[in-house]
Amino acid sequence: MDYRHDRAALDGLVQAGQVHRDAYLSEEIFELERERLFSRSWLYVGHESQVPGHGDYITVDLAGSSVVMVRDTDGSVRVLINRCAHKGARLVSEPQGNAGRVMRCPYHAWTYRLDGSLLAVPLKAGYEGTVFSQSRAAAGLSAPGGVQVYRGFVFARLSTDGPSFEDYFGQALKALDNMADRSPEGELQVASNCIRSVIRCNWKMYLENVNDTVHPISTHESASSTARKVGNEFADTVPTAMEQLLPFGAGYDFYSKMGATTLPHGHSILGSEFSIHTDYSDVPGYREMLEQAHGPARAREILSYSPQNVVLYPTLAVKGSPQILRVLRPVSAGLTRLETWVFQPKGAPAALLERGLTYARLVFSPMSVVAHDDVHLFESQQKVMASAGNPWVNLQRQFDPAECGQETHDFEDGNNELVMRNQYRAWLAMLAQPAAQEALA
Amino acid sequence: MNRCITLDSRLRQFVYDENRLLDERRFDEWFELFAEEGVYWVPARAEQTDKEGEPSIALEGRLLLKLRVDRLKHERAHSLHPQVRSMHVVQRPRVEEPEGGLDAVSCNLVYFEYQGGSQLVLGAQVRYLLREAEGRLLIVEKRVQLLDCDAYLPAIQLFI
Repeated sequence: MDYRHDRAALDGLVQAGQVHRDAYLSEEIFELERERLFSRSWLYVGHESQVPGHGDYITVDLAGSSVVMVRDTDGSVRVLINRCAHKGARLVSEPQGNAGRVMRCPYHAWTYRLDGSLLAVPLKAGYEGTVFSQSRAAAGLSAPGGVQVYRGFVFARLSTDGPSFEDYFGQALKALDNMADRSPEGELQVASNCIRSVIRCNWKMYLENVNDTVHPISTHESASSTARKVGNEFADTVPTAMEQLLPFGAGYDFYSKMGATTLPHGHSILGSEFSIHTDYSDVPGYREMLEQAHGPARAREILSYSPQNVVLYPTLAVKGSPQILRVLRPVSAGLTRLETWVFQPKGAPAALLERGLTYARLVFSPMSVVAHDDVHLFESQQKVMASAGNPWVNLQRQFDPAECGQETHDFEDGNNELVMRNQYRAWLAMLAQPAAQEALA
Repeated sequence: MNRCITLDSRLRQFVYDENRLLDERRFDEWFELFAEEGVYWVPARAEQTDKEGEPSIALEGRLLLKLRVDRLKHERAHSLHPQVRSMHVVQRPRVEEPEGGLDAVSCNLVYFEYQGGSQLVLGAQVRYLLREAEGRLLIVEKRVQLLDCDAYLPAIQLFI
């Protein structure tokens, strides 16, 4: 196949109620995703609380680009491409650290200010008369086409081409507001590190499943039914773990009334009315704290909004309660890295962080008995989907021809696979537009 | 003096026996090695000293360990098909200074986990805090410090 040049073939991958397997299996498609989808979407880089002091940095791989997020001496957060302008060596190698006032390439000692501008090169006289000042190198480090800090969450769009941050995410940003407003101070502190997993599957399988309400009762039966049994044996303790695991046994009816919203660009809110996170017990004193900070009405609004997942397409899934971000870092068509980040609302009881940490271990860690069954199934899809016969993935539940041509929908039944179809319609719209040759400024 | 040597060798033998129970899939017996307050801990970061306030890959007391052990027997534990097998290669355990009245012993470990044609290999340093009760040694803490604890890790389905 030549999807790059064959528009009809590309269009043929996404039909009204089904998606062709090449969308998940083809490395050619993954290359197109990098150029046309990931580079033009807003990708999550990190949280500003990871770089509290001047010179603090983290390094991140953003869809194949090595990126450094650094706190500049003026207090602003910068995102720069982690590639020396001289000969392309990696500038900063540690996952996190402090650069001091400048970043210095270990290869030939080219030195950059924290805003990426070139400060000094050795043997400066050797560049006289070479029109060096007009070179690409003299402009210093490359930067993404766009960087946005929103409520402390740092995003970048690699390409100069693509929608603005607000236009891109729209209503989905409410999920980030909600998480930040769970702090009486309106600010979050990220936990010291994340939990990292790698899954031998396409990133889209993972992201579809984030919106899949019909799988828990069958996929996670072993975890939820064993939790129920063990919970009875240890009846004298009612720990956070039980409160978090037992809802995985919720049936189809539960999800049929939870409410869902699809948005332009593939975003979605699953559980706009309620979710498996709604009935978590109160943390003593916390509600009063929020009432005092935000007023009783807003406090009630914040605490009663706890969707199952809000997808900030294409690489982020948000849980306001417990305060968790799942960040997908796709590596290839068949390999996806996952980071699970937990947040503490500043000024709120530490029990909230513990709640998030417990959930992350129980449900998303490489040793999670919940994730085991998910990962097993995603990896089996990746292995078996290429088999002879039917090449389609079916996403037809509750399909209505009237839904086509419109991206924003509010509906009651979370079991409607429209939350997934919407992802693929956005996917195709992005993939069908060839990218400008030069992706970076 | 003799008594000390005996204790040291008992501690070392405990480590070998504990690992063997896992490889022989005798999970119920393995579970009974944990004290009431026993914890199985896999930190997410090198040099992590706190169990609370930061992420761990696993942090489980008896309730969650029981859940994990019992799930292994559940007929719809999908991820366990085809069968998952493990092998623990234990280097000679080192007996350490007691900590807070508990016996301490640690070992280097190479852990293999095999399923359906692919094999996972992990290196770890494992440290046990043990206490004596009615003539038996019980695990108060088993800490598995993975060499690659901060890497993107695949699913680890059995007990390291």
